[in-house]
Amino acid sequence: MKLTKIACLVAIGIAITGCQSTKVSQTHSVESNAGNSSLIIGKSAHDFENSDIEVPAYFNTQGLQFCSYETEEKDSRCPLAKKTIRLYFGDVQTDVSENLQGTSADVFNAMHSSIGKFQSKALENTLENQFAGVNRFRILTRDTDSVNAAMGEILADEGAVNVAKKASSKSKLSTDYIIKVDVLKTGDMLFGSTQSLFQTSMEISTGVIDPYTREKLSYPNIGKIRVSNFDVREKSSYTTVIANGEYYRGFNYTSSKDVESVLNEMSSRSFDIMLTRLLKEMPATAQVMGIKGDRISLDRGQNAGVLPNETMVVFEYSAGFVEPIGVATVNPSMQSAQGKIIRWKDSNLAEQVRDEAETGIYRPDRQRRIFAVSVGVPIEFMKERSTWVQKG
Amino acid sequence: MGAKRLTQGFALSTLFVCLSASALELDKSQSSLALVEQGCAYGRGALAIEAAKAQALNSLRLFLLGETSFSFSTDDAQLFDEQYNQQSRELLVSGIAQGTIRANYDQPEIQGDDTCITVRLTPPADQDQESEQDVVWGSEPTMSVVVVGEGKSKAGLTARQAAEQDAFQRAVSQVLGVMVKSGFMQQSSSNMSASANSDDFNMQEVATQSLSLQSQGLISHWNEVSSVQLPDGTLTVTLDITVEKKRIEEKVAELITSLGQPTVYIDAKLPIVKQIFTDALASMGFNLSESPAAASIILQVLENEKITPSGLQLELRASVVDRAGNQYGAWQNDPTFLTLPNQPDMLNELASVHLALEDNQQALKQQLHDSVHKMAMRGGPVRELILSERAAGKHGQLYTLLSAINGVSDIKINAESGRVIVQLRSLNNANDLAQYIEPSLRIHQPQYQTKLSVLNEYQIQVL
Repeated sequence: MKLTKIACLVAIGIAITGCQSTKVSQTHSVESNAGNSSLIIGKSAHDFENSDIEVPAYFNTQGLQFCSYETEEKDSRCPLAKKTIRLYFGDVQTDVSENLQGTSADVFNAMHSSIGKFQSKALENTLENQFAGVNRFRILTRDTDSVNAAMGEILADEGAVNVAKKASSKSKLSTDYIIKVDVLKTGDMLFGSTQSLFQTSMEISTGVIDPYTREKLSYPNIGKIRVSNFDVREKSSYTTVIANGEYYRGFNYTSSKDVESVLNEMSSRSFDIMLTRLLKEMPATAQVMGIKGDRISLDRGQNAGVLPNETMVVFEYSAGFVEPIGVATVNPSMQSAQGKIIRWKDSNLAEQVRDEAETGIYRPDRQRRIFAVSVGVPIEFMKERSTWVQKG
Repeated sequence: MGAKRLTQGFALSTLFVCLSASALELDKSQSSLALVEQGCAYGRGALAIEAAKAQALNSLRLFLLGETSFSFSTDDAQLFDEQYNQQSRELLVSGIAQGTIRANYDQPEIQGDDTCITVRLTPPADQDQESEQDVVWGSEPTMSVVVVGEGKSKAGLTARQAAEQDAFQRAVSQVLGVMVKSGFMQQSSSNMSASANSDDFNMQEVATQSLSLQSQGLISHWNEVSSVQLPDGTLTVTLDITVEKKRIEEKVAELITSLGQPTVYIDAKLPIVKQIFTDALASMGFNLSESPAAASIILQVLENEKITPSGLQLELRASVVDRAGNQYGAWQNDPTFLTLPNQPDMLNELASVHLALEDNQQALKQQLHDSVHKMAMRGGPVRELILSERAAGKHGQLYTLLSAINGVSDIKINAESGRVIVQLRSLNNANDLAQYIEPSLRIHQPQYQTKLSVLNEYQIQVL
């Protein structure tokens, strides 16, 4: 997401001058320091203007006719057939302190050593958990230690015959792609006359790789994420007093524990950002089976990654063109979803549909099908399923 | 989610249908009047579709039984009564109850969480029942066949004896042929469940080869129809032979048992693997032997522990060989099936899970049975005759005599350190084989009194 575009997005509670009122806005970004990445959160349907009701990118109007609704969708044409991925983490080695000399050398060496001790690989499981929750991929966990230990215990408790029976009834997952997360950590100390300021940032880039061909894929493009330590705590909490190149008081940059806790918070934030970008890249799309009054009934739900309180743009798809009808708030059940159109688009088509739906059930036909596509991660989801708090 | 919800949904929807008036429709567009009903079931996919079909059929059934009311117009009612008489209604109802009904189903549709399907039922067409005339393997204890046998006089046999032997073998073979056609073999060989893919012809061949040796015991009596002496000394006889069918049945069953349950020796390195294989094979119904000597098949197991980044895996390779080292089959597990932490006792756990797996048990059993078949087709397991040089005499003559024994093939003669080792294949077990060999050896060297002793299932010693 480009900086200029982020700047043009309307943020809740933050009025930014210079935004054009005609620009489509379906998400808002939560501001950060210049250059740092923001979370992209789907706006509530109630906040949508008429001009905001447009079809977002990457919608997929594929039908469910190829789906078997079994755990493993065998036909890749079925939109519920998710790709199986493995997540890998890699720390980019940045040892800048090697040839440092002078009084500041000790400070930098201490700082870099404590930053260097932080292994982002330990966060693999956290990211796996977060990605699994949004149902865009099937995740093959790399937490082999836990799985193996558990299998050992299950075997001991339940016996080989049971394990053999159970294991043979499950089909094995086969990896489609790997997602590699590269983490680059930097650290800096801004020296002041009395107090100095500890600064660190984390840059994360994510690549989707086809391991069988070694191709890096272009989609989903999560891009590059930068998180600074000032994004997770107040600036004042990083001030430190250094005397003769030695830590004296304030933020203890020499303690790897202190630095690790900051870096943990930063990675957690970067994962949130990653998730919001992923859901914008891979929106949930569902077919509208009927409209009754304001109520819409969708053909898929949790199984297609529809989240609770999802804001979805409803549009008609006919002859290759899309025409938005309205914006709805949708709640999923396992295999379907029910929603309410909060705002109808100001258009003839929307009016037509609305009139028909008011008197009975509007059922789209084969030529003029109606779909709903999500606009981004719902704010409630970030609040309830993550550690993110809304400011302001 | 699972079946519970599904059945709940099914039960609820059934209840709903029972309580409400049926949403049945009549389709008059075709020549025969079709009953159209929609059924819905909670969920998606094949299970839900089946439940929806069942629901629709159930309401159709209730309608046909007259348990749900439906108001027809007078015309419709008349049309319905014309096309669905009492008999065809009963036929449809029983068809639905037994799940043999042929109905037309529309494409399933999604309605909210439900999957719905429209079922079209037409009156049953009259069907002529065809009954197939099969070859009947009757219950009579004997069977008469007329066969022609040929023979020349050879070692120990007159031309007539040889021709009669030939005729007996052909008679047995013919009776076996009828048995195969009647499907009797399939019934019997279904005991060896895994050998379903072995074709009957092979089985017949194996049975013929083995049974013709004992043809005399299978024939109750015979009458000569005619005989012709050819100029080259060959005698052709035409005999009307009565074959003891019961005896053949018994023999075939015996043969199948001995082929299906060979004695197996398990050669494994890890004691635990050996133990598990032993238990597994014993529970599969194989006879096991403590030593390779008493076995006709050796199951060689190679255990390979694989340490992978994910943990410990076990690769098991088993090959079925005979005592001479010929391989008849091989089996390998999928080591990636289970991964456990890399700890010492986990190898045992892995082995027990792999062998507890039904697929593996099946594959292993199949492999063993196939190997036995292959071995039988190649003339039986290899056995060794250990002769002293004195007893062996002239190798050329020994070879000819041994090859003349029915059912013996693949003879190889090797002389080593004062002994003569003869390797040969035979379908008979070692004791029977020794009995057949003895007279041949007497013919071989009439002056020398040979002493035959069966050392084990594999070796026969001749001094």
